Amino acid sequence: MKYTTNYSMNSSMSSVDIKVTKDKSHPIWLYYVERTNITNVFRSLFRSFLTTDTDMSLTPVEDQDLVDLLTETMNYVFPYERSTITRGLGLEQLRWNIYQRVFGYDDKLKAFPRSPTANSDFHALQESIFLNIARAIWTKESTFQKLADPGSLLEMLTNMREILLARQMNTIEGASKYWAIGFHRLRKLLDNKRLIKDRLGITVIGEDQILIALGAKFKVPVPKNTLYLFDLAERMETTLLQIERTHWTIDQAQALYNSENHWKLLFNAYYRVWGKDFMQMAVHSFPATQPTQPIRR
Amino acid sequence: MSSALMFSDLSLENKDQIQRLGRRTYLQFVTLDYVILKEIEEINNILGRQKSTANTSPAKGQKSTAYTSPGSVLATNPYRLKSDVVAEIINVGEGNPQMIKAYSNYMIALTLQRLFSYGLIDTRRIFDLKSVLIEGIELYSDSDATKDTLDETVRDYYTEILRKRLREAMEKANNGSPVTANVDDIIVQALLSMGDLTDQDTDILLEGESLDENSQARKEIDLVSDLFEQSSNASTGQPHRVPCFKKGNTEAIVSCYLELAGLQTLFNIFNAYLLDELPEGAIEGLVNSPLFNTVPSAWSALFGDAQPEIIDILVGLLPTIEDRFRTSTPIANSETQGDIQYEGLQVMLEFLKRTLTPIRIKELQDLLEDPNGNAALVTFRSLAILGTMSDWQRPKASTADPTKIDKTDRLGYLKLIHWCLTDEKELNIIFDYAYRYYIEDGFPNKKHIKELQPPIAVIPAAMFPGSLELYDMLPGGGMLLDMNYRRDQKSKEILETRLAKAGGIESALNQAHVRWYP
Repeated sequence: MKYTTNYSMNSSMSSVDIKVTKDKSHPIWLYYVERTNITNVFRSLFRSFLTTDTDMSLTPVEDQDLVDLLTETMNYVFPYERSTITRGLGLEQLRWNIYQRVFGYDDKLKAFPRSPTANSDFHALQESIFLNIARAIWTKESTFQKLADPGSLLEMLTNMREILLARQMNTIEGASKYWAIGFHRLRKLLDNKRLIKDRLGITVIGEDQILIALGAKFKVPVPKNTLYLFDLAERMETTLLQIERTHWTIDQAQALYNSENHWKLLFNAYYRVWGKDFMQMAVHSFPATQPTQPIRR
Repeated sequence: MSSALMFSDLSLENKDQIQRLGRRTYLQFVTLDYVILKEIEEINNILGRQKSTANTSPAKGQKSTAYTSPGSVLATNPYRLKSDVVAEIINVGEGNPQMIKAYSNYMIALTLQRLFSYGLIDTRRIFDLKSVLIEGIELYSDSDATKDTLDETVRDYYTEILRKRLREAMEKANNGSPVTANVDDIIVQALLSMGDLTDQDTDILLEGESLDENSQARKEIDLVSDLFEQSSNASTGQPHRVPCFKKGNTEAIVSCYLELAGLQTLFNIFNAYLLDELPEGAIEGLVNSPLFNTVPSAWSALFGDAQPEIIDILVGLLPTIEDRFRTSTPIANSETQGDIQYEGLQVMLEFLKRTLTPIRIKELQDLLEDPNGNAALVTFRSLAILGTMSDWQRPKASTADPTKIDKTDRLGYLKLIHWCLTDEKELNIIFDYAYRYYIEDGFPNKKHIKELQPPIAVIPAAMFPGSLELYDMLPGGGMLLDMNYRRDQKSKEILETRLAKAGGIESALNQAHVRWYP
């Protein structure tokens, strides 16, 4: 299918545009990694590291680098507030505030400062986009049913781009980079053979399994679908960054359908995390009977 | 062609500084290869001339080995001369300034290749060494935003700090004992020259968003054209410029290349130290000069665990080129290009088949797994593969001699690597190269190339629009997100390797330009 006219919504608009930095780290990644409860597992680990030697005993000479590594990580991931303002708000609380502000993911059980303006549409919009794509993938080879609808996909992508960019202001960029480095360090510690295998005696394979075993050891609950949470974090980050970086045209929206494997893997991880199977929904749905969700304002 | 159809991404912020540094270092590396080749040729010629005169006088000539045809020195191993050849060079070179010049250039190029090979596997380290933080502001970014020219004092300050830091780093690396002044000078200059084609002795501000980025880019175009397209009539360099390989004698050719690659100053400094202690015309001291060993060993001490980002890019991208070309669709309103695109694709596939052999990709993968300077040296050095010296150049159509064509297509491979490291990676550029590569000779299936001959005009940019990575620009393109995902994963892997060690957080923070501290 070729489109000779280069239809673009953005080219006709002359509104303010927000640039996306090259090495941006998207808060969605933080959100899904945080959902594995990795911070609380390590909080307990560090507590044990500081107060007792029942779980691990690191010797001052041989394990000096490991001690350094742990201390540095602890200071970085669980830092002390530098200003009286951040002290009043709480650093972890500020991280949760990002999730609430940008994605509308608001954990009602937690107490943190909430922003009155938030992207409450995000989740519904994202699912509409996924369903649109799932339908297109499902009926790609079909000769009598063509459900691909790049037009509405284009509108939804543009909408998504606008709401995402408009909410990531002020410190969010810097904060998400900061925490991304911290979380990556935690995940790297899961790979640290000397710490995990030799000192803590955990012999399972895979970051997710190690985290689950660590959680069991330090009595912190870790969700069973941790593997899929990690997976979804990576896939969602790439997807959202792509959405934010592109000035969408109908051709580009159409081209998205071609990344079939990416979407299938994402849908699978999404199903394990949120319990919604878009491929199945695509099979049982027709656009007339189950319309894409309208955007509520 | 309307400009709307060119998809190159011209915004500076999207260009990766590491990749750019690596690409230019790679070009310099290839240039050094070419210099080695030229100097070997020169040495060979002098030896040959000497031999012919020696033959006429019966008193001499018992000792000499057979240098009957030019290229016999190369035929052994251009990177390591046999001891009898070296003996011959000493014999002939005594008091022969031409020979001394050729031999010293040859040895300097060899030594510098050893230095530059580290720039290919650990580009980030080079970048870190080159960028200096003064009071938290990276000098090259915004300190001179209000002026066109660079502030002299700032520049001197920068050079001083860079030298000091480098000296400290070397002292640390060499167990606390400072290296000698000459080695130190050479290494500082090598670091400044690396990846910088402008070659302005002190004007090193700087790689990255330097003010002379434009002149860098211009020189790069010329250098690429002179290195890779010697047989082609339609050079992509600037018009009205005499290409380096047409300069006549070896000395002019070599200095032209060195000038283009920004290595002239480095060569001069090295040469000055080399000849410093030698009496006039004494070649023996030159052959045994300790500098050829002390400089690389002091240099290599600066490097620890390498992060071969450039190799990583190559290993990731090179295998995807073929698929990318297969999925490329000509622009919608160009019917002629659509008609002949199949033939164009065949030419491109043939080019890829020849240049991108499995063994070459395997070599790069091995290098990625075990990144060290020596391995990089072996992987990227190309002369040993050439059968004869003329293989560097492909003959023109008129003189096409099928036996002379470079069977290994090494030059095409080198060009492909460079293209993979460019910022845009536009498909049409590499297709244009492949097309001109074959239009003159050597394409096995003449049918395809015939379809592409006049009167049909081949417009590469219309036949293969888009670029290697930007699938989304095309209506029929695919796999966009998969590639982005792979790239994201790779940068995360690199970040995590930095974070694996204590102290890694600091450098990761600096690299990511994180200014947010809670």
